Amino acid sequence: MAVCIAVIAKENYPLYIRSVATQNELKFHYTVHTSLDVVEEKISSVGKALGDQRELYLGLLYPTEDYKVYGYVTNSKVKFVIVVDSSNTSLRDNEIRSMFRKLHNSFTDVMCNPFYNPGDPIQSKAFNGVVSGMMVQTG
Amino acid sequence: MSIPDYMQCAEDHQTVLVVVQPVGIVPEDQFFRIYKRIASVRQLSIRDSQRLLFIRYRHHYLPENNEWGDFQTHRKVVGLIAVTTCSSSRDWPHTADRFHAQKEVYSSTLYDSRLLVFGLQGEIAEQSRPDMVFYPSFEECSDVERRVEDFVESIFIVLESKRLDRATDKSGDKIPLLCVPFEKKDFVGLDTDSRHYKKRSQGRMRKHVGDLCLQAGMLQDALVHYHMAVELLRAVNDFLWLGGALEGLCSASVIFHYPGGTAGKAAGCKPSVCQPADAGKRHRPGGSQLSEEEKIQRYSILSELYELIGFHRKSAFFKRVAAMQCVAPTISEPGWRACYKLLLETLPGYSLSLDPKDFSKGTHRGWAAVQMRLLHELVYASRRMGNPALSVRHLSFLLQTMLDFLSDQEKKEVTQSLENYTSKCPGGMEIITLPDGLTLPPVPFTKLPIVRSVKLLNLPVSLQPHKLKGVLEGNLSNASPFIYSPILMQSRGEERCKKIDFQWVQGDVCEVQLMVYNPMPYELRVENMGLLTSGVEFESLPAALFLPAESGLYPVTLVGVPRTAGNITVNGYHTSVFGVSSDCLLEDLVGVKASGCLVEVIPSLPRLQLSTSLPRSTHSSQATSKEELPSSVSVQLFNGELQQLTITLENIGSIDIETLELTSKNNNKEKRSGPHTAAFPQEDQTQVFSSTQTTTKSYSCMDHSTCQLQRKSDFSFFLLSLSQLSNVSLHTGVPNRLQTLEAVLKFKYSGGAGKVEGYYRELSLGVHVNVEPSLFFTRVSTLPATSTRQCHLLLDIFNPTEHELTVSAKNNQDLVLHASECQRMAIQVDRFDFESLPQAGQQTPHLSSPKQLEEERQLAHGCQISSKLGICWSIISFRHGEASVEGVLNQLVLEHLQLAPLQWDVLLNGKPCDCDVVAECIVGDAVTLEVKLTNLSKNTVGPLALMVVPFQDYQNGVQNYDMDEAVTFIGSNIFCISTIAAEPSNSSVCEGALMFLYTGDFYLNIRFQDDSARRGLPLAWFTLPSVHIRALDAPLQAGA
Repeated sequence: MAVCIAVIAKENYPLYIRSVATQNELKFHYTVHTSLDVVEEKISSVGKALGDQRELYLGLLYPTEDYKVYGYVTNSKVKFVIVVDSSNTSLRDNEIRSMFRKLHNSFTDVMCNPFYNPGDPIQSKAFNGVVSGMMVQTG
Repeated sequence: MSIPDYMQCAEDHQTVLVVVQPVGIVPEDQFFRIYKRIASVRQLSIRDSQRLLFIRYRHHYLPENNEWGDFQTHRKVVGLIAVTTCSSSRDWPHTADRFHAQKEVYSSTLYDSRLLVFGLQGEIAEQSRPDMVFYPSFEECSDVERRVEDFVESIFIVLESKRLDRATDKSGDKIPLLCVPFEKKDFVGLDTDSRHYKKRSQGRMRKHVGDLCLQAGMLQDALVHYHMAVELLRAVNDFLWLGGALEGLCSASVIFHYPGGTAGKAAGCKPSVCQPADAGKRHRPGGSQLSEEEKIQRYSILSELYELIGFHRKSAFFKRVAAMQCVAPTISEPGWRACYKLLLETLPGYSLSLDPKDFSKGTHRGWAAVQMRLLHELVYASRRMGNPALSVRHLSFLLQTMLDFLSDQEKKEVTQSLENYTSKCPGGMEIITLPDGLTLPPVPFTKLPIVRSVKLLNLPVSLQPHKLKGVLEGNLSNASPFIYSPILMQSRGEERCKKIDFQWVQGDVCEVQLMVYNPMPYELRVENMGLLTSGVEFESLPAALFLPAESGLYPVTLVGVPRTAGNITVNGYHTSVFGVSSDCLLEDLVGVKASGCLVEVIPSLPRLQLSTSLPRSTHSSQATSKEELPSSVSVQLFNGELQQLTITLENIGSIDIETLELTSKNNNKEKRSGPHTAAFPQEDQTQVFSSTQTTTKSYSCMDHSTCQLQRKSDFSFFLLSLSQLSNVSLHTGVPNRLQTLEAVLKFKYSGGAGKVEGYYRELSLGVHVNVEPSLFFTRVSTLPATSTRQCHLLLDIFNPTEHELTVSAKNNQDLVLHASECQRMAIQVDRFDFESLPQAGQQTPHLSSPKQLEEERQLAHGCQISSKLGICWSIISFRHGEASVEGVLNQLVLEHLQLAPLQWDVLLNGKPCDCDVVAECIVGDAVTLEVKLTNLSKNTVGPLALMVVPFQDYQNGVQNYDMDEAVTFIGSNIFCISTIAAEPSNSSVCEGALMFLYTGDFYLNIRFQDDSARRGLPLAWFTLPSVHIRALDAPLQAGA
């Protein structure tokens, strides 16, 4: 499914990033980092149009030759980015949405942990497990 | 594959494209001369109209680009001007073929073409052909411009006809679908009858007409067509063509609004090229045919475009790709400079500035992983550029700002390479300015090590300056008008520069304590660590330290010497780590606790060093804890033991000590424990110590405990002597009840400039004496001796120690006491004449009450007795001391010991006789008996009557007083002594005589006749010695 999942803080630095291909992790760093441009653009335009009642799911941010990048922004401006393989056509928009929702729920759990300092890198095992579940190749 | 022309601008949309190319062999310079002349015809006003036609010339144009002509007509090659040389007619057919071949390349789009032939003369040249012009040589071609104008005019005619043809095409005919090259295969087999398809075709065509109108100079028409096209295309989601239409619309608007042109400003930056470029990239992944330079250009342009639409990260990404392209391994001469320059331009996109201050506060900004990558690349590029100073700066920055994100392995690598670089080019604090004006601020290593707190330390107690009282404090001005205010008038910032309430001294080593820790996974070597100060001249004494890996808080003391007086501010510290020297200012540090960094430096003061003959301990008992003595002498003594303590004072500073004052203070909680100031002679107080030669001044202090003096409970020093060598002996009386004695000796001294300012220093020495009991007198009594001038003192001595004790007294044999043994010692002592003692009361005039006076007198008596007795003890071989009977002597004993004020002298035959003396006389001879009374008392004595009674002692307890037959008195046996006034040494003598009739030992008992005379006076005063007389036979010659 996903090849890279990232959680980005309000201040645009990574709280969590994990990718399948560990040998080229930096590539995904770049991919996710540059996707923030689109996220910011979308947030600013959406914010104007709908005010508070906005959709958290941002949809496809941009496609590259190999990957599709999807974005999601929580109300506290924490961004989730999921990168999927372009060749994986089986993934529908709805599935991406549900992945983001799962991710958001797990992130909320992390934030509820009294021992977690907002702004610190996420090291929660439970969160890691959820992410792993999404990154498992389901054929 | 199309190659985007990044230099295009909005105005290019209204141009027609003409390609000028050489055919065959044309000298390059000649060709370009001709090309320039052709290109000078850039616009042409059409004769009978207001319209203008703009021409764009290219000498090179890829046929692939031409294929995009349907999409944007200005990319279509509509005219071809070929330039050729032909020297002979023989070559002509060949040349003409070439021209035709060239025409063939652009045939699909070409409206018209020309061939300029140079050098051919003759019949062929004579022929007038519309598409060919002949010139004899490159020099003789004056009408080239005119020819070109003609040519352009013909192109316009075709263009205009095409425009009109398309614009008026409103029949029900099928409109052909215009395509871009890559779309062609997509539309194969598509239903051409669908509404969608038709709309698309219509929209695209409308856009095409708009392009033609624009080219033909009909701006208004073009705008109308573009608008229609936009609406049509938007409805069918034909985004590429919609974009094209919008671009056209935009260009037309620009042309309309800016008749002067926008070229130059917008050159290469118009979004117009964006779409095809992107499309090309997207759909032709194998863009490997591009040259390296083109790649760099493409990425740079992409970056600029993203920048323009506000995608800063994307822009930075492509700029970085462009930078990497500059130094791709396939390039023979890598452009490291260009690479470095491009990398620098990416910095804002990664929210990275090269000022470490931006990272010192709050959370880290930006995406550390990519920032780190970029910094590594900057380091590498600058190194390859041959600028090691730059690499050091970047690497330092990387280490400083990204420390939290570096893994242990990376930390090791980064520091290793940093050390490699700095071995050639040490890093410093200077600002590096790049040729293009960018400045790289210095990177102080505030995290290597991390400083948690800064504390200025006071001088050691012995060196702390004290202000003389009475000198008005100068800093009253900053005091609040309120005596007390609950509102603290200080903010955090002020706290840092708050003045600390102690002083440093000029010329003395001052200390600042930093709590630091090493965040590195290995030992950190910090060299040349010193203080940064301002305010006064300060000589920092740098230290080198090794901090263990991941050390906890580690105290580091930085020292320095202020060279002038004034207010000093500690601003920070400097270090040298991994060959990079840093100046870390406290104000830039985060999370540093500083309790104030401003301290006053007072002018220099002398320094005195104190050493003692006895070992000093840091032992500080509870009694002295308040005083915080730097050191004290601790001695354990037996009661009565004498210990000499020599205190040596040495001037170790460079300044003369002008005054020195000694004060002693007793710490025992007794009523008379006030400070005793030892009376130093005046000349000693102002003694100047030489500064060049170290003078040693010695004082010796004798610690003498005397025994059983209960009333004297304070610990006082008596100045015994002060010789030329300044030896001070201090005599200490120690009562045996106290287990410990404590005293503080304080040496106040001053000199130099500090003295002028009213400062002095104080050196304290604690003296701590533990007293153990040596011997006790459990009971004291007296026995009268045979002589009235003497008596026996009986002392019951107890040995409380664990050792064998030998007690000796004057004129007496030693007494050995085992541990815890009690024995009686009898000492024969001469009676004392207390009256002859100097009056103790005169020395202590403040003791006025009679009781005190009496006590004082008794004390003096005790002292005298003790010194007379001279009782000494010694513990086998190693300890010895004195013992005193003071305090144990009661009134009765004292009276017994006292010499009676009435002194009786009995003389027999003119010889004095006393108890032990046996006076000899001859039987039958008259013996004169003389009794002399000397009155030393204050009272008048007498008159007295004495009766002499002789008796014989049989030595068996029987005394025979019936001596009438043995002894006869000549005259009366009663003597009378008249009144003796209390004059000094007044005496009265009475004489009598007696005669012994038999030989034998006789005693004379002299009694008082009447008791009334001596009423009120002690009995002891009237004790007369008994006289022992041995009566012998008359010598033989007398009988003969």
